Amino acid sequence: MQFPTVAFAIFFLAAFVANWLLRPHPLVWRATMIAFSLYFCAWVDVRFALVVLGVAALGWAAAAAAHRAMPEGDPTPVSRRIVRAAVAAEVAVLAALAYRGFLVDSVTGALERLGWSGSEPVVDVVVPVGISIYVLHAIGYLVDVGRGEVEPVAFADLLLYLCFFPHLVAGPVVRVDELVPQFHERPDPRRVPATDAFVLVGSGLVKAVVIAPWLAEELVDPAFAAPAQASGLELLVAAYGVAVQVYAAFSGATDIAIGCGLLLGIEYPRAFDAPFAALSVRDFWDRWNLTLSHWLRDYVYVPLGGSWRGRHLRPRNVMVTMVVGGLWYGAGWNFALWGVVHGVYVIAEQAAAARAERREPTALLPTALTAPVHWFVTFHLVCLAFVVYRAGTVGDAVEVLGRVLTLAPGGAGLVTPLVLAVLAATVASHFVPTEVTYGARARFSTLAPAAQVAVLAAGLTLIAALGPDGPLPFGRLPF
Amino acid sequence: MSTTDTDAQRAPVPPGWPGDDPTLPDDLDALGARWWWWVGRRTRGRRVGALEGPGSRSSDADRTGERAAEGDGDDWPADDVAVADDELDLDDDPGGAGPRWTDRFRWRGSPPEDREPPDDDEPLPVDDDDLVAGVQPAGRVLVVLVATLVLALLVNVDDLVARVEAQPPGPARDRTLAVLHPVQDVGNALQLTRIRDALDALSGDGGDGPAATGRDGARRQDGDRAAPRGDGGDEPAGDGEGEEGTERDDGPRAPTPDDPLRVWVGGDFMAQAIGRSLAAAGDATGVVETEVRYEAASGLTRRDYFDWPAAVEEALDEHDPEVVVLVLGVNDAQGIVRPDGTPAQVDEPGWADEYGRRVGELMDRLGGDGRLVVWIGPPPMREPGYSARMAAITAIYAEQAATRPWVHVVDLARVVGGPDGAYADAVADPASGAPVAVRQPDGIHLTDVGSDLVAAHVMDLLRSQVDLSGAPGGDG
Repeated sequence: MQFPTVAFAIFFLAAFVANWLLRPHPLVWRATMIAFSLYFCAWVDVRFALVVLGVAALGWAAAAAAHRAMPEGDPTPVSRRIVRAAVAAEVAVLAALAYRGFLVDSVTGALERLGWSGSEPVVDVVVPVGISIYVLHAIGYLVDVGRGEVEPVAFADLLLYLCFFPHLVAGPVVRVDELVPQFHERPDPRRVPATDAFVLVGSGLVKAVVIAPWLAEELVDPAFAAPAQASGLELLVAAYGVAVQVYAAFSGATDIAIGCGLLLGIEYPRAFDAPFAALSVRDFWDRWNLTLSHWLRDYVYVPLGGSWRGRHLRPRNVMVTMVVGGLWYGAGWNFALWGVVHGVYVIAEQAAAARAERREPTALLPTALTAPVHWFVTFHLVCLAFVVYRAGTVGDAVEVLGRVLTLAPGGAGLVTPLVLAVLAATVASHFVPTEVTYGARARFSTLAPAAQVAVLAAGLTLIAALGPDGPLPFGRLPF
Repeated sequence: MSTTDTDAQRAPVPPGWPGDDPTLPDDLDALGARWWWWVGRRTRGRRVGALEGPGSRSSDADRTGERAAEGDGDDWPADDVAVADDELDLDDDPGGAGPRWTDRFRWRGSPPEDREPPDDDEPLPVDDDDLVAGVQPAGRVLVVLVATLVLALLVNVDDLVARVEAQPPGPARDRTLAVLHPVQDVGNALQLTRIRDALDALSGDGGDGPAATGRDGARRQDGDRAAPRGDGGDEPAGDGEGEEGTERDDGPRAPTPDDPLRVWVGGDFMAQAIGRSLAAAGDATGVVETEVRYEAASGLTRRDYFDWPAAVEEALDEHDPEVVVLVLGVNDAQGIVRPDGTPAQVDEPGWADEYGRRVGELMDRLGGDGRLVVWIGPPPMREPGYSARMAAITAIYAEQAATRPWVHVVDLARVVGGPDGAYADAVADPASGAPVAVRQPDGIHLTDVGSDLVAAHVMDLLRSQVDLSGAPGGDG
């Protein structure tokens, strides 16, 4: 089931009514929300719900066993082994279901290059909805329990934490201690933050339904389908387009998820925080898909040793973490390479920062220019990485970058004033403080319900009219 | 700052709330405070504990955490937005007197009792966080949500039908369409669908488009178009096994601006997009007038769902088109019932025979009176199995047209397919050579550019058969 569909709207209305009516009854509420979430998972294939149940059962049993092996509350060798085995099993489930094609293709490709001609028949496995989200949640829970940071939770709580439908499509990725306590709270049904929720869902729809597919169709897809036809300037704008398109698709989906959560009385942390306003690549990762960044830090970077096991290991840890993060966005070597590029950026920045600490501070730039120059460089480094992300192969990426750098002639008529305006407006919106919208939000809040209905229906109609004619491209999101 | 007083956290009773109930309400009627009461009433300023949603940067800043200080990941880029562990103690008793975990989201600023009582006469404070968040009872939110979705559904129902019919044939699609069609009738009856049409026109998505859209053609704009010419509409051309309609020497006359060429486009959802592009291209000539009739999820296999031969008959009577463009096949890869009542599935041998018979009958009916028939087959699809079935259907069209010279079959694999005729997301623009995306992300629909390419191909075909220069001299 996808967010911007009539089916989801009807589904959500039913969930909304059930949520607020049953909230006074915790057990019934949890059972009902689990039923809704499993139905959401099973929309495409009923077996997907079984996968969620399996992942939850494994996580719950292993966490309980690990906790029993920690009588003092601190990790023991036994508890560590249990957690490692369970995490390995969860990763295996993810690899088998979401990355199988990628892995098989990579292995057979390598074998063929070595002279093996046997081709492995690839079974067409349909990837369960949201599998990367709930497997990441399960791993986080296991590690947290294994570290003694959280107590094991009831199976129903864990199952609902893993599969709660608002975050299943594209996150946010939340920690167990961010969500499960809310399942035990009873939010005031008279105080639903409706305007905040409507604004989030509306802005999410504009980004995910209007901007992302439009940019893909008008600029990015044609440019990258035949880069030799486009001029260097067009490919440069297409690189900006990829960055804005990916941002719009992912942040749009998470905004919708957060808005739906608010309407149900569940609050998620923010996932995107004006990433294109970043002044360094590290700042970018402090703003881009924050919740995933936190997960990667806590469950990949830190277990690898972070920075405290020796500075010489830090670059390796950063690189591994970035590659894992890249692969979350898609099962392909281009996504892994995108992670490598960002890993290089972060390592270089850390090295530069460390060197700067040892030296006398010297002002290379006038103070007034420092921030704009940092922003300009960061933005272009990020867009450069997105060329790798979008290009199917390294060769394609090199071709695109070569044509950009040489300002290759040509022209496919892809860059129009409207394309430039949409790109500029999206990037510029990152510099607009949230407070600017407070007046409009307050005015909307004071409207009579009938007027609110008119405004919201007009907004939905506008989004539908400007969106693509066919089904919406949520298939481009990760699993 | 958060408060520890759970009573203080409870919102004051909003205006209209039936009494100061110390317990939270349990039913939607109470949640909505009798929703009908709210209709037409403005929300008064309720300045209670300020709610902060997760969308503001300051709430992220509040979560600046100590996790980074543990030394594990102190140089990780996202460190400084870590979650504060001390706020996330699972051992907190939710009902106890201690700080609640969600306090950090929900309550900021002074406890409610520290504030001045609300004054309804006072202007609404726009800086009130609560007002900005638009805090409302759940029941009222439900009413707003339901009314919004119903209104948006009625306005956009034509578009929704087109989206649903783009899905591969199957029971789920049929069920959805069975629900949407009555809604579509209501939307058309209330004229609400005109709002969406106007928006599409403004956005250039059909502004110059066909005069008629929709399943029943209710909004067809006949205007002052000339009355049907000649009496050919009464002739049962279908009797003649094709020979009768082969007066190719006559062909369509050379149209003029005063007496334009009458083109009628019919078919499934593809006809909507292609018809729109074709109408725009025809308008550009100044001598072509285009009518479009499309029907969601229709085809030639399911006459019980929509009877295209009858619709064509009606169109011949009403418009007497000189050129008929049919766009069919996308929905036809499904079981068919033969005249003797026995069904045949797509892969069974009898299916192609029965489908071919129906195609041939319709082609025969369209022949005669010098009418030109352009039969557009389905394009290749991204899904290989679906694409193979579409190719088989196009082959049946070509086979039937081979003996009917008034029919020209357009194989879309040559127009919007790759060099080998297979599915392609983008093709080279014949004019500029630049790559253009011709398929939507679903791998089924054409993009506007793709529809324009098909329309340009059909216009080239028309020009090869009809003098569209607009010069007088046609025999009318």
